[in-house]
Amino acid sequence: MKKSNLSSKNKNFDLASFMNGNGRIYLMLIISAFALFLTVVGFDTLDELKYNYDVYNTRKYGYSFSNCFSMEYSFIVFISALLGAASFQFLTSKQQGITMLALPVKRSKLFNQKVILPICGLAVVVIMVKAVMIYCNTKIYGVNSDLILQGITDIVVCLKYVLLGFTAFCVSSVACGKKLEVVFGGVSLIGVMPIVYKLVDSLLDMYLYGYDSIFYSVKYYSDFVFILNPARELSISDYFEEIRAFGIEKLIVSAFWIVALILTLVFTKRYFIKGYKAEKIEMKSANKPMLAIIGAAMALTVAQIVLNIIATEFEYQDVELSSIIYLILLCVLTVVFAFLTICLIETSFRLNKNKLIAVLSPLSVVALILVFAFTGGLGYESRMPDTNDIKSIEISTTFYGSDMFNTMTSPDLYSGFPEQATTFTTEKDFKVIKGIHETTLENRDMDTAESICITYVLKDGSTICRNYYDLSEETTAKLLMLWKTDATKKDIEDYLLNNKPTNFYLYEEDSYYNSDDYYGDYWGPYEEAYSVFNYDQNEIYIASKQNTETKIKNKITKAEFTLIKEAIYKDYCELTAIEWFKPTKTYGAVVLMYNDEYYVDYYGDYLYEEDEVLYESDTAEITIENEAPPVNENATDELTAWGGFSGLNEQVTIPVTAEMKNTVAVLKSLGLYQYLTDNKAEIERVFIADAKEYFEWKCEWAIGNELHFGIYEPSAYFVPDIDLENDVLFFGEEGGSNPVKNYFGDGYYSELEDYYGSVVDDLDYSDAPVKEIKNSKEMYTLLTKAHIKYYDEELKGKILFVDYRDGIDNAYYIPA
Amino acid sequence: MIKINSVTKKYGDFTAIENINIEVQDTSVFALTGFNGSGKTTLLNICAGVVKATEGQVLLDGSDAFDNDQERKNLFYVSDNMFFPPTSTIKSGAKFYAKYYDNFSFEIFNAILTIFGLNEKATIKSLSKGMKKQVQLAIGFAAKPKYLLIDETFDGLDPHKKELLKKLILEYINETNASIIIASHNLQEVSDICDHVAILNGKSVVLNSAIEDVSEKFRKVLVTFKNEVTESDLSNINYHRIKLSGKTAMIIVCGNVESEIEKLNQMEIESLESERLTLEEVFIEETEAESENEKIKSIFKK
Repeated sequence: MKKSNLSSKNKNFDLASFMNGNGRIYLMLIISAFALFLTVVGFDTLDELKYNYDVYNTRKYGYSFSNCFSMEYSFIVFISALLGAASFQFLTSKQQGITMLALPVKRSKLFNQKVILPICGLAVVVIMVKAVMIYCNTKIYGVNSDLILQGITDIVVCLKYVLLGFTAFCVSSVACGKKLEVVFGGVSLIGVMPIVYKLVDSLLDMYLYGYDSIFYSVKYYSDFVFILNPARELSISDYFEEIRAFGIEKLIVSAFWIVALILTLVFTKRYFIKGYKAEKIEMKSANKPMLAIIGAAMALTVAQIVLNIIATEFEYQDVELSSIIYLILLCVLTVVFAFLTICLIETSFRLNKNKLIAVLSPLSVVALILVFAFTGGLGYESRMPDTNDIKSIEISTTFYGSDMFNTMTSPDLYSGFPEQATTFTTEKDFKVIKGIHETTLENRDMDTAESICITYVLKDGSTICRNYYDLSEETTAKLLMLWKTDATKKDIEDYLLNNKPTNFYLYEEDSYYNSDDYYGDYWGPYEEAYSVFNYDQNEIYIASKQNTETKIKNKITKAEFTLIKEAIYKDYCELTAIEWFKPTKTYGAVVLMYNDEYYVDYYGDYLYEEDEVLYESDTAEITIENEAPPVNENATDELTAWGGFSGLNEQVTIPVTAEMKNTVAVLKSLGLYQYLTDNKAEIERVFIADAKEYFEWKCEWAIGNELHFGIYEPSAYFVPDIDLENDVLFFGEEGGSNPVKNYFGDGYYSELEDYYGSVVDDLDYSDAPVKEIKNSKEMYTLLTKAHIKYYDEELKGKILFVDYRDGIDNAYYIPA
Repeated sequence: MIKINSVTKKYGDFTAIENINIEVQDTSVFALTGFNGSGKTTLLNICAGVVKATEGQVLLDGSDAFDNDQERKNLFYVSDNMFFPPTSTIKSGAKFYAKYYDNFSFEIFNAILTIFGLNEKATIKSLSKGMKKQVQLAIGFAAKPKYLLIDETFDGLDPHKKELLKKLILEYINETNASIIIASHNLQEVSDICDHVAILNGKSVVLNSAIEDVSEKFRKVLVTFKNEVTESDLSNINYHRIKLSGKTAMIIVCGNVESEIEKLNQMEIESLESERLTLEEVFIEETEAESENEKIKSIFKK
């Protein structure tokens, strides 16, 4: 009997009624638990911020806590949505609706009551919790501007999410008649807002900075997937460098959102007062336009997510989805999901007018995207000025970045394009550049990571800026025509001879600079290359393949230094582009650093303040300005002076090739040339493996351990991706002689370990498909062909695992 | 005074009520009746300001009722299924409404509960349909509104409670000079307490009359003629319905019934008997429900 009562109770469950009864108590409990959760997470976060600020003087706060932040926000959105649904539930129940609307309360007052009370309630909780956290942190650590700013930003961001969840369900409740419609509508609106935001963002990118067409946003950056992580929305702040410099971009963007959401609520209120029809309460398909939006939003979001997963799986099979196929698939999936969504709402699978509208709406959106994608924003992308109107043209390109131009044009952290551009002013150069521009428009090669930014400065003072990705071989070949124009020569001369480098390095064997096959762009040759680093000006070190450092001599003289630079410049002037870019042999590289300020990653026992001891376990990313942190001499652990560059600026790395006769001669005369060759005696044993076979073996293990799927985050955008090679490589055996781990270095391994959680170390290497090379002649022959930290995407080559006598082992790649 | 002024309500292509004109005077009980779906509740919803009329308006003492919180403080709408917070008791349910009505009197409320024999501590959920109706009515009266709208007024009430309610309504009118609109199918009860009645027939009002005039407007006349007659013989008679069988005829006359009877008397007749119609009979006549009888009979003959 009791059971029957219970089931009947559940069947008639009514959210609003529930919230008006015991639900209030449950809600209070939930809010209390939520407050506790926020306190724990937030306190830790701010604690981390303070710790980083004091110890490392860094602004990179909260990096490793970003997942926590997202979780916190998602939770806030969920609670707010629940409150929004409960507040306006009376609009989906005839009994409540008629009663509430018949009471002597004006609709405007009723709306205010239903909005202001819950929002204020939740906002007070959020503000109080955050305020307590800030107070505790300031009490313990004292006040610093970053801490306060971060605290205030946290509060504003949280309030934004309170408004986001609530507003979505408020709008949906007022617009829809049935409960199910409200839920779908609310969820969709939460999704629609970031989509709209991202579309605006993409358009701004295009029209302000001349970035490639919106198609890239759609295909590569998975904007619609933004719904999965609403915390990530900083890209719009990239337009405001001043704001970014103050560190308040998050604050500004959130404030913008808050204003937009409040305006939405104001318009909804107006509609509720003037246009809301009480008779549609509980009516099936009460609002057809709303249903169309719901269908479209849900369908586009789900289709985009599914398609990204499909595309990634295709990439595994080395099949790239062409743009057209991608968009056709997007259309088909969108239509299917739109249909299913509306079927679910209407609880019927028959095709009717509503469903037709819902299905056609997203299709029209996709059609618009298609038009935009294939016309480059209705011709915007391909517009080129007349030669007579051009005053000058600036060019920066990552293509040169792969060689000696690299460092002059180091990538801007935010735009991804080189900061420094070469300016061309002659009509002859204009014609060449316009030819390059035309070739770029006609040919694209999705396999390359090269990009170019062409800025036309016109005689009337205006500028036309165009950025293109995926340059084809035809384009890069034409770019070589600019290699030794007067403008480029002047730039090189200024940079090489007239600037004063702060550091000088010789790198042994760096064939990875011939990097047509260079994989990806998120680990560069410098950032993680070697542990060799020196803070004293003009000291010379040489890096061996073993990642150990050998001090050559303490100082080189200014005169010696000038000799090297002049020799390089002479070689540049004498060699043709073919000789320079396609050398017969590369010995190694000379690195000149021009940074006044540079970033360093290092791990180990350093002491920043006298009473502060950081142990080996306390590794973290830090920033140093012109000086190394003092070493803690009392530290009990062994010092590990391990370091690596991170985000270097203004650095020139020049491969030393057989063709650079002047440079080679100077290095020989200074006794440095010998360090560019291998020390064969150090090698103990060598294993070789077929790269593909080895990776497949690793992959099989990784899949078995469900570790191959990760969230790959190459940029500010959040992309669900499965990056087989990287994931497999990154998950190696911890410690010991795992070649995979050494292959990438401790730094990355550690970072990835943090990022992905823990690493499972149960891979048995005894089964590895490797073969030992015992013949020393064969061993050295292979080593001369080997490259460190480099492999091609197709993995057609071999992997060489080398154990050195000093206990260090390393892995190399030998291209096919 | 409640003035329903040319009110039309459309739901898309469907017209629920069309061009309704009704005036409800102070100190009066107005009955809205009509078959199911005839638009009674729609009209009450419009009067209560819940739903906006597509055309026309409802005026409460000259002010538009829609979204007018000041005038609606004088109005209480006892809808068919009033909302109460789910776990609320009779008392807390009353408190929920008391917040919105300045004149709400718990004294009156408790007194009515006593009359109905209800315990204020009982939860609303545990009440039967009729008991819930009693609570709703008690709240309605306790709010002391100038305009009281009651939907499905006698639904679920036992005969005793119906009598109590009728007395309460009459007493309330006497004391407060209020206007009460009640929507009901229970024509016997309606005729007992109402001053005025309006019959809705689908879209429009087919009868809008004072109760005492209703029986004057319709008369059932049984006539036996000397010879057989056809409908054309009676073309000069203003009748609502006629049923001929040889020399006899059953005629529902309407309008000026006395003059119509006089006309019949002047014909060659053997006998003539006339009787007044009850409200229920008028209702059936107006809604033509009787015409369905033949159809019903034919269903089971198939």
